[in-house]
Amino acid sequence: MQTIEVTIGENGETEVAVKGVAGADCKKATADLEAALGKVTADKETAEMRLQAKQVARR
Amino acid sequence: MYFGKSRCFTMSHIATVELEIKDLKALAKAAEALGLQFREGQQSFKWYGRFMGDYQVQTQQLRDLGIDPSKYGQCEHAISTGKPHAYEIGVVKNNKGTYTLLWDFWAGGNGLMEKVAAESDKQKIGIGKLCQEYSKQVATERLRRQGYRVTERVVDGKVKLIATK
Repeated sequence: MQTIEVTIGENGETEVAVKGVAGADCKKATADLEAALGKVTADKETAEMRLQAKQVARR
Repeated sequence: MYFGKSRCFTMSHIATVELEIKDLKALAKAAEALGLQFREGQQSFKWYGRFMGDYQVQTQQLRDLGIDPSKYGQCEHAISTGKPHAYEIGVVKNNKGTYTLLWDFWAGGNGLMEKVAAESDKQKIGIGKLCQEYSKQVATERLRRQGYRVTERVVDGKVKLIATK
C-alpha cells in the first residue's frame, strides 16, 4: 500500500512524507503535490530509509 | 545489492515545502471555509491607507517581489470578512508568477485578524490559519485527483492528511 502523509503547520508550511511507493512512482506521486504547494526547501531520506539502505549495503 | 542512488526505490522520502500561493480556486475555498468571502476582481483592499515607512524587512521582501509600497491597497482580488470596517486581504500577482497576500494587522485589522491568524499567534499578526487551510485544500484536491483516499486529523494545531491508495 502506498501512503503519503502530509503535515501542514500552523503557517501553511508543509511536510510531505512517502512510505512504500516503488520506483519512479515515488517522484510522480509527490512532485505534482509539491509543485502545487510551493517551493521545496528540503528533500531528505528518512531515518528509516537510510537504515534500509545500510542494511541492504551490508548484505 | 545497494540501491542508494535510486532514492525512490521502495523507500521513504520527506520533502519540506515552503508555501507559495498559486491556486486561486483553492484560496477561495480556504477563505470560505473560514467564513470569509473571496471577492474575485476586487481591485483594492481596505487597510490603514497610508504607508508609515515601518517594517523595513518586509517592505524590502515585497519590493523584491515587485510590490512597491506606493501600490499598497491595490490588488487583483480580495478576501473580506464582509464587515464594513474590517480590513481586507489583498491578493496580488508578484514578479515570480505566484500570488502574494497583503494585509494590515494593526488594531487586529478591525476584526480581520481573529479570523485568519493561527491559534498560537497570540499577537494576531500573521495569516497562518488561512495559509494552513489553503495548503489543506490544495493537498487534498491533488491527492484525490491522483486516486488517493484522504483522511484528516488535527494534532497540536497541525493538520495531518493521510492519503492511501
